[in-house]
Amino acid sequence: MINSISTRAASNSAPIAPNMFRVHRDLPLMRDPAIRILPWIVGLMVYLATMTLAGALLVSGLATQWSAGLTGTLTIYIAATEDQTSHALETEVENAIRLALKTPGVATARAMPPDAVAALLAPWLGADAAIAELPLPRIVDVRLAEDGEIDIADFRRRLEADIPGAGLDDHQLWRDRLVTFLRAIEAIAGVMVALIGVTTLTMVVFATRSGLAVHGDTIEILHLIGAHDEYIAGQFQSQALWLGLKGGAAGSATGIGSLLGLAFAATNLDSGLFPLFLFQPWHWPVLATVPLIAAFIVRQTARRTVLRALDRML
Amino acid sequence: MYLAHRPSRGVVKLFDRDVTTIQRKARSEMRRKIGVIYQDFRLLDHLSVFDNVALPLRIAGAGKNQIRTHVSELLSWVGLDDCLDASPSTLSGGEQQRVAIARAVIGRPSLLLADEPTGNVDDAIAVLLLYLFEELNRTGTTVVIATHNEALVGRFKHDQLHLDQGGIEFRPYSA
Repeated sequence: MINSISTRAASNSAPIAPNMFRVHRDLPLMRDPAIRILPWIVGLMVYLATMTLAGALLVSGLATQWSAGLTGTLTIYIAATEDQTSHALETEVENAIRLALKTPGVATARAMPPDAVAALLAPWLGADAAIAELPLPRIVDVRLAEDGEIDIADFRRRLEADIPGAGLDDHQLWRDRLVTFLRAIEAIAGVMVALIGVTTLTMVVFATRSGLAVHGDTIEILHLIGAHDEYIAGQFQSQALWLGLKGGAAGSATGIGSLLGLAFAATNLDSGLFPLFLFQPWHWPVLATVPLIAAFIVRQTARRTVLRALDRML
Repeated sequence: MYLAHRPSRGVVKLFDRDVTTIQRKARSEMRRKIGVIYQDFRLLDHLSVFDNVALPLRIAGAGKNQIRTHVSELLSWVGLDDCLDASPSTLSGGEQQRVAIARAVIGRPSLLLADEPTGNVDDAIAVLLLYLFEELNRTGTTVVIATHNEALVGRFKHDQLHLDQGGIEFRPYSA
């Protein structure tokens, strides 16, 4: 059979047309345990990132919701003194309501019944009849008009001047503290996502270096045959992208499944206690980008690691 | 000569270019002009015979159809058309050598370096391989063969370089 050896192939002068879209893997990367474990690592990290990001989105939404809810209301409190008759106190409440309703920007003003005030204090003071004998302050709940503007300082000044013992609470202090607290949680969530990213990056670098070490001989042969660094990096990056997408999809599906489960469980609870799982429709697409971003990061990390390592070889 | 190492000093010229100063990418391009037949073959066992031979074409960016045609043709010519899907590790030494030769010549190199290319084949096949190299030379490929088999190369009418005791001696062919 060797008699058929000829130089026809060598003298064949057909031009070689480039094919940019071909994907072929000359390196048996999946034989390397460190690379085989990559989808599991990416999957776990995407799951953690999805859950953390979902938490951050919910906290952010909650802060906005609470902030908006509180900015639409004011509370007038009128302290009761021991020598003040209930009739006199009731008159002050009516005066306060009248004053509020005359103020531009106020939509409604409603006195909270003494029973309701007592019910609010019951968890701390007990539900027995003694509460009724205490000089509890009267509360007036003021709702602001949606598009109205109110001069709170002027309202407070007029209220305190006209009605002795009255005060106005615009919840500013409580709201500021709450927003600061929620922003801190958001920042921590951001740091956690960043740490998850850095950990993923580090694992990918180690897995890629392991692959480079395991397949060093094959890489050398590819180089000697004329492969560019880009060609060899392409082998790693396409494998890393595929593994990243695979692991990321699994992690994302698990994460979103967990969130759906929690959201479903929350619907069976008192929504006043658990408004946490009120996902907005745009939250889901944001969460769905996590595996895509992760896969892209994995691909780019593998690529840069290989190119930097190859630069030191041959 | 096949650019396995970067020269630390001096001047080494290949294809009229100083390989000590060329850029990394240009070095890869230059390697594509060089076909190398290694003494230990250096075939990739995780790839089939077909894929081993196709490697230089793939690296050069050839299309699938071109690769299929050229590789099948060349493997047929070296008598391995029934081993396309075999792993190199399952082939005999002589067959592996022919795969290595096919891989070295498929890219139509300007320079062919063969390190003991006849070391694993019998004399009859060795002669045929040298005829192949001679034909390549006639079509414009510079062929450099390193061998201990003086009797074999003595049968061909070409210049020789003899390495002996650290010295080098040029023996031009004289008819």
